[in-house]
Amino acid sequence: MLCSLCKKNEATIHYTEVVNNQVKKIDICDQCAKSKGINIELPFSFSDILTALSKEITGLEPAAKGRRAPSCQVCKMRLNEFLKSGRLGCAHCYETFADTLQDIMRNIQKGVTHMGKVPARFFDAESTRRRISQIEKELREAVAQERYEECVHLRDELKRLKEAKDTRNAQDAKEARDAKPKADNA
Amino acid sequence: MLERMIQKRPPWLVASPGVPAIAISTRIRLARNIEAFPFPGRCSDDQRRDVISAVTEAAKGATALRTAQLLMIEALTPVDKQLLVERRLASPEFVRQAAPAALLVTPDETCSIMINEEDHLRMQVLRPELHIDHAWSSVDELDTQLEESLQYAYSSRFGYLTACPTNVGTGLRVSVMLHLPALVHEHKIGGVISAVGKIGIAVRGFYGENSEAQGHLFQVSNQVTLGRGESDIIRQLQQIVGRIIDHEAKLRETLIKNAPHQIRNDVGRAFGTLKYAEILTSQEATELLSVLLMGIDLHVFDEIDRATVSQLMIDTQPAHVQILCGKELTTEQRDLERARIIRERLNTRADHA
Repeated sequence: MLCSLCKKNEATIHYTEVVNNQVKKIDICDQCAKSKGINIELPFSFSDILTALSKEITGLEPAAKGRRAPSCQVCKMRLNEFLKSGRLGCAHCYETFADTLQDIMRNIQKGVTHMGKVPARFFDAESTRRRISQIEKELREAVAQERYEECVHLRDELKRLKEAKDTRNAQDAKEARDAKPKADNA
Repeated sequence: MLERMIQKRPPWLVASPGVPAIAISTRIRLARNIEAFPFPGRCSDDQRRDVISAVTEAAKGATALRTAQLLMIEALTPVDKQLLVERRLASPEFVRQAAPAALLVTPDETCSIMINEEDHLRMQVLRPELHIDHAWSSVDELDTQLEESLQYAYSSRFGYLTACPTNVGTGLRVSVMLHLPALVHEHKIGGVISAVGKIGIAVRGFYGENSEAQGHLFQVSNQVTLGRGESDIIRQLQQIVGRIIDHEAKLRETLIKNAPHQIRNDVGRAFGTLKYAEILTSQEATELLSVLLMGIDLHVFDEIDRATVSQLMIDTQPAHVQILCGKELTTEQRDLERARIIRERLNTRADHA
């Protein structure tokens, strides 16, 4: 993919912004990033990039854009505000801005689905089942695209989840057995 | 508590004798938020106080925090705040804010929680040298115990929800502090930084985000928090850190073999300046002490023991100097006092040696 600014070099930084519910993407090369004052040699924050590039992409002042963009019902955070500060306002923002976040995660993270620790209260059979099917899907894609390193991660995670599910099922069965006599007495 | 703090070495500086001293310390932090409140940036002062109460209450059930004390940030003097930053217990942004925030910290400083930083909870475990697995199991246990009484903001899609999307998912940041004088000396550090940057690992200065490297000290940490499990993140960082350490060790060997006079000259001059200077800035003192440390590690300098030098690296930081002198000082006064502290300790040790 060529750099959208100079249209000469291969783009190495991929950036997405949503304005008035329209997704705008920009892909730029190292040199253009440098000339815009983004030092890619050093770690930069997501908000640095947003601030440095926001005018470049939209050509509009912040006040004029995002007028009809979604805002969070819980904390009133507007998409505009989030893109400017790089910070979300509350847990619900992750649902409000899910689409934008999905694009952002694709660029700044290694995937778009959580693969780590799960709080006990979420560790029910349903969420495990959903995650297993999601990861099976990702695994199929990774195999098809020969992304082997990712396959290993996904396979490990799948194994962990299936084991956890089995343990959980066994526990549930035991609890059900233990609970039965009490129910009879009541 | 803060006066007592300064009389001890921070736990991450207590190195065991005989180990290669390139990895100074390991820190692991987890970012968590409580579902019932907006993220701190959007909380009212009352809500922020409620968050502090909720976390403090939950902390009573955590084994690692049994002896922890609660410090209200608003009640601290500017020097105390800076001390917490220098001891790596608080971020500069955290102590700078005016809104209610608090730090829970154990007397040995190995375990702490910043309450109302960018996220409601930023819990951290500090260990000397390279002990990532050990630090992870401690912080994982702490998190699990806190979770028994706190309902974390979590989604099965994005994982643990954080104010910044760069922390979402695991909320995990593993960072290892490395002493890399040879890589800096040979101008190889830039290459290392950009190489590991491409695979989602950041190399930063001593105090983390946006800080400059001082005294050849660098923090190597993971950037990716989503799409990978904790064990994968840890394994990858361990591999990278291992490679950087090997690189530094090999370069040190080459340096001492190919340019022994240059190294002895650098170390000797650093010692001379530290021993006789009347005015020393924090930056200069840190750089020179770092060169002495390298001299000790390369066995070209043995007049001062390693512990004295590494202790001076922390004791010469601005807030430490002021607390050691028992009063607030201007920058100029600090530079005089810093030089005095260093002269005293180096001369005493040298005379005894």
